[in-house]
Amino acid sequence: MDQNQHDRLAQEAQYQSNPMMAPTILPTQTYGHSLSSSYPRLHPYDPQAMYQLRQEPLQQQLTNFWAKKRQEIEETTSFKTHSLPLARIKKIMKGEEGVRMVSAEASVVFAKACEMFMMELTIRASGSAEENQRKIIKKCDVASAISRTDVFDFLVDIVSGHNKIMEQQGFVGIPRIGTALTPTENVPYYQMPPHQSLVPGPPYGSSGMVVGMPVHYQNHPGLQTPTMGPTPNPQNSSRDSDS
Amino acid sequence: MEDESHNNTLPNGFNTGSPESPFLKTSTTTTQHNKEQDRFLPIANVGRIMKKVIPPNGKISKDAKETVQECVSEFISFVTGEASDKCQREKRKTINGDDVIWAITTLGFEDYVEPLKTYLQKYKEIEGEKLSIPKQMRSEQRLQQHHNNYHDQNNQPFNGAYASSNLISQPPYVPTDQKFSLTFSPNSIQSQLRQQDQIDSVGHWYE
Repeated sequence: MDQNQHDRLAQEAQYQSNPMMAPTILPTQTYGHSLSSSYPRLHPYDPQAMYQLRQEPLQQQLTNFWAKKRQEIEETTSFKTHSLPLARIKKIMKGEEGVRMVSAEASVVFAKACEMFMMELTIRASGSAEENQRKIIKKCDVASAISRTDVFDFLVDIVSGHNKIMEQQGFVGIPRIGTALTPTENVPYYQMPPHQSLVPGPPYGSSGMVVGMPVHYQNHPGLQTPTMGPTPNPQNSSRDSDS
Repeated sequence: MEDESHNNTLPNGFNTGSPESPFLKTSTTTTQHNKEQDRFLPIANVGRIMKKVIPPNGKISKDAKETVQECVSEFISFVTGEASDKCQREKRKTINGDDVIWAITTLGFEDYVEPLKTYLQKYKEIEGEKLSIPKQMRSEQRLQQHHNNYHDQNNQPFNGAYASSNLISQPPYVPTDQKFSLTFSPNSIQSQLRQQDQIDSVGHWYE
């Protein structure tokens, strides 16, 4: 329930900001022309052939990416620095209903997972930009990458507002993006009261007490208890300095 | 709860200059913006990670960065929800690393699983010993926070060189004593020595 409200709110915020982005969509009106010039040997309106041709270099890119990631992780020797702030990850995790305590190792794993997620999404979006002969990755490239990748289905709502703008601009004929519109039309949007609170409050009053949750090898009560006591104070101090 | 109320009391101008997002440039200073900012990862971090996988002459529009910023928060919530459900079924209160990996597997991100298992295993090997040393743990957590901030600042030079930034996504950083208050210097030295010992003798330590 809260998650649905969150999605609708994010969708509404995105919808409200879309008019400002209208000018950036205009350059893509050369879509048909650029496709013809890019693939002169193929019929420009044969989506299957185009799709097959596009997939090959993208798959190679992703294969190289995962191989590099595995090697990089094998060579990891320090967990003191992360490409993403762990405190923020933890805060987002705790925004999910029913979440009580989050171990430090969970935040660390998420930092790496999010990095891989963003990189995969960017590689796929980059492929979409290349198809349109652009060097700049735009929001519609991210939307295209999401609509073509099954595991990214949960993100369709986040980018569907943009697809609506695309539709209004007369891009209904684009096969891949057009199909993404069908399921979204069945999802209710913008039904949430405008004064709804942006962020639901923490579900448990004790959440503040677990800010300094210690690292533990296993979820073992004997190990967990002694280390909980002293941790809140220094962690709170650290958090203050972060703010 | 405590953190939320604390953030709300801060002036908006100060919050936009917080260490977690040092390069964030925005003209809006409303309370809503603060809360919205808290539920996303810093866009500077997002932009840096995205740049690591695009061609050297490629660029990323701001709206693309913002979209990925929203998507990654959704990814965290999506996976966390699955992991949390599992913990509740098993009557456990704490989400740990294995729960996150299980949820990612369940949700279809097969390619992520093997790298994450390796990563978590290494983390446990290096950090696990700290469970028996509460003081070290306290010091380590404080160091970790500080390093995160410093890393954000220090990582900027890598942006311009695609090749080097692509090869070194987690550059090693050795802090100097001057970076910490005197009360922590002895612990940080011991921590570093211990870290080195663990790394050097990983095979021996666990055989």
